[in-house]
Amino acid sequence: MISFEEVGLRYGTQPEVFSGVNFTLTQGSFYYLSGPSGAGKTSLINLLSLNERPTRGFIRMFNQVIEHRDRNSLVGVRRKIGIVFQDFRLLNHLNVFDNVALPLRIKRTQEKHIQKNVKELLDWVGLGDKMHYYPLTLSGGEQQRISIARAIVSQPHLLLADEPTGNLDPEISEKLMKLFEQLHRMGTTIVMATHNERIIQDHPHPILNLDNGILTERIQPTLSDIKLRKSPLADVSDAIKHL
Amino acid sequence: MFNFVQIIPLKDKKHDSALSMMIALMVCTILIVAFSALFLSNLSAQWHNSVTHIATLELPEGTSRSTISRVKNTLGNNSLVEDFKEINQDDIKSILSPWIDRALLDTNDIPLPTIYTLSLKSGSAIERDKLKFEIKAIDQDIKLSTHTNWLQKAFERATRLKLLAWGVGLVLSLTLITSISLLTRTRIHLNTDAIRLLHTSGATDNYIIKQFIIYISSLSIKGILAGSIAACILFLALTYSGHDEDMQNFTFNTLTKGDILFLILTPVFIFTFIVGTTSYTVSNTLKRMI
Repeated sequence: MISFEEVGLRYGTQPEVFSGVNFTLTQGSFYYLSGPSGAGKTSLINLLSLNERPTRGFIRMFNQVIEHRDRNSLVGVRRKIGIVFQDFRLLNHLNVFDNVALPLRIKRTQEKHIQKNVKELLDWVGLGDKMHYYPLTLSGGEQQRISIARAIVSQPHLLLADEPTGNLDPEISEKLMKLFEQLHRMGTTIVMATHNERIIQDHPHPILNLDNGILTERIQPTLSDIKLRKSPLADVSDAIKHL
Repeated sequence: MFNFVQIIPLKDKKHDSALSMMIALMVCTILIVAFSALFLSNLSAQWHNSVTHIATLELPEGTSRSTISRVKNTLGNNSLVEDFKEINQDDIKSILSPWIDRALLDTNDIPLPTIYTLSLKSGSAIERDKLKFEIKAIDQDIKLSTHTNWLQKAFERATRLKLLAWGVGLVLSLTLITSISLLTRTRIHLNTDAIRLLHTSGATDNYIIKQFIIYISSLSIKGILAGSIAACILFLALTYSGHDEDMQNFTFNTLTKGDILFLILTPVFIFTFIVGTTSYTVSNTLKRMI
């Protein structure tokens, strides 16, 4: 679905943020993007969200080559991507409903569908009773949920999340991860930048690790892997019982 | 159903009022200037037409009947002369009386010329010179005046004022366009994050341009309406303030239907220019963004 081939990114005359990045994301996968602060996680998210263009290499997304394409010709690709920003990037002059409805309005979805879908989604993220509130009157956790609702309202193929738990307490972070797991099970490809080791351990998925501009892939044991490993032990336990 | 949401936070009550006010002032001034230019243009055209179609023939006192008869024959046979009429002696006296010091002289005491007013058809300068030549051939003392000389300077000044008015109108229009362009650029820079968010969410440039156009249109319509109403009030106040019926008739008779249509369409032109400038500026600025 998405492939990076020898991708490099440089800002102006500064040294490359990363160089020779290669990876492929298959449809329905869930990847963490980790690495120390300043390693280039946000830059990679920006490349994936088409907010930046690579200085070298090739990017292929949804069967389209991205380089040298003008912005208007990439509208179709952009509409398949949902983004949860670390700083939420909500529009404070719009209420919760209008913030979430933004991607649908851009796609010129019929108003009756917008009303139905956005209300359902707000109920799902627990903000159904606050749809007429303005973002600045809500807590950080609630603002993050608006940001997530906006990212997924148009049912994107790829969900990018840049440190989505960075401003949240552990309890809300856990709820957020359950939400992401649910979306993942529904077939959405997720790339989540985080350096929260606890989340990575509690919700194991493959990791793309960025360090000193080098990207490496680390496969973690998934929940299903852990279950598989437990099964033989259970068999042993049963066997012991039968002895 | 049309359900427009201003996604880019362009509204700013304080600055929006100032912008509407500026547009209103510009529109009012442009309309007054356009009216003045059209008025002067028509006025000078009227002068020109009046002067080229009228001439005065002055025969000194004591001109013989036979000479007068020959002059009449010449005028009657000349193809340029449509009609001619002798001015009554009493009328000549009444024309001259304000110029005479009555303590010293009376109109009965001075020699009065015989004057003919001629209505001329449209003709070339050569035809007019030919007429003059024929009259002079009858008597060197007969004066044929076509008035063009003494009105020429006034006509030139009116033309200069008319050009100046159009120049002022053009400068004001350019100032308005430049102001709108600068304001649009400022609003784009102030809302870069919102614009990036829209792009990231899959908005086309046209979608963003539309956001700006709807915002600037609402401000422009307010400003243009206010400016047009102010210009109308000023125009009517200037026309009716002196209780001068001639001035009122003159003002309305001077403007043609085309001029009135032009004045009515001027605010529409201004609106189109403002919207066009906004669209061009946003489109151009967005091209430079990723």
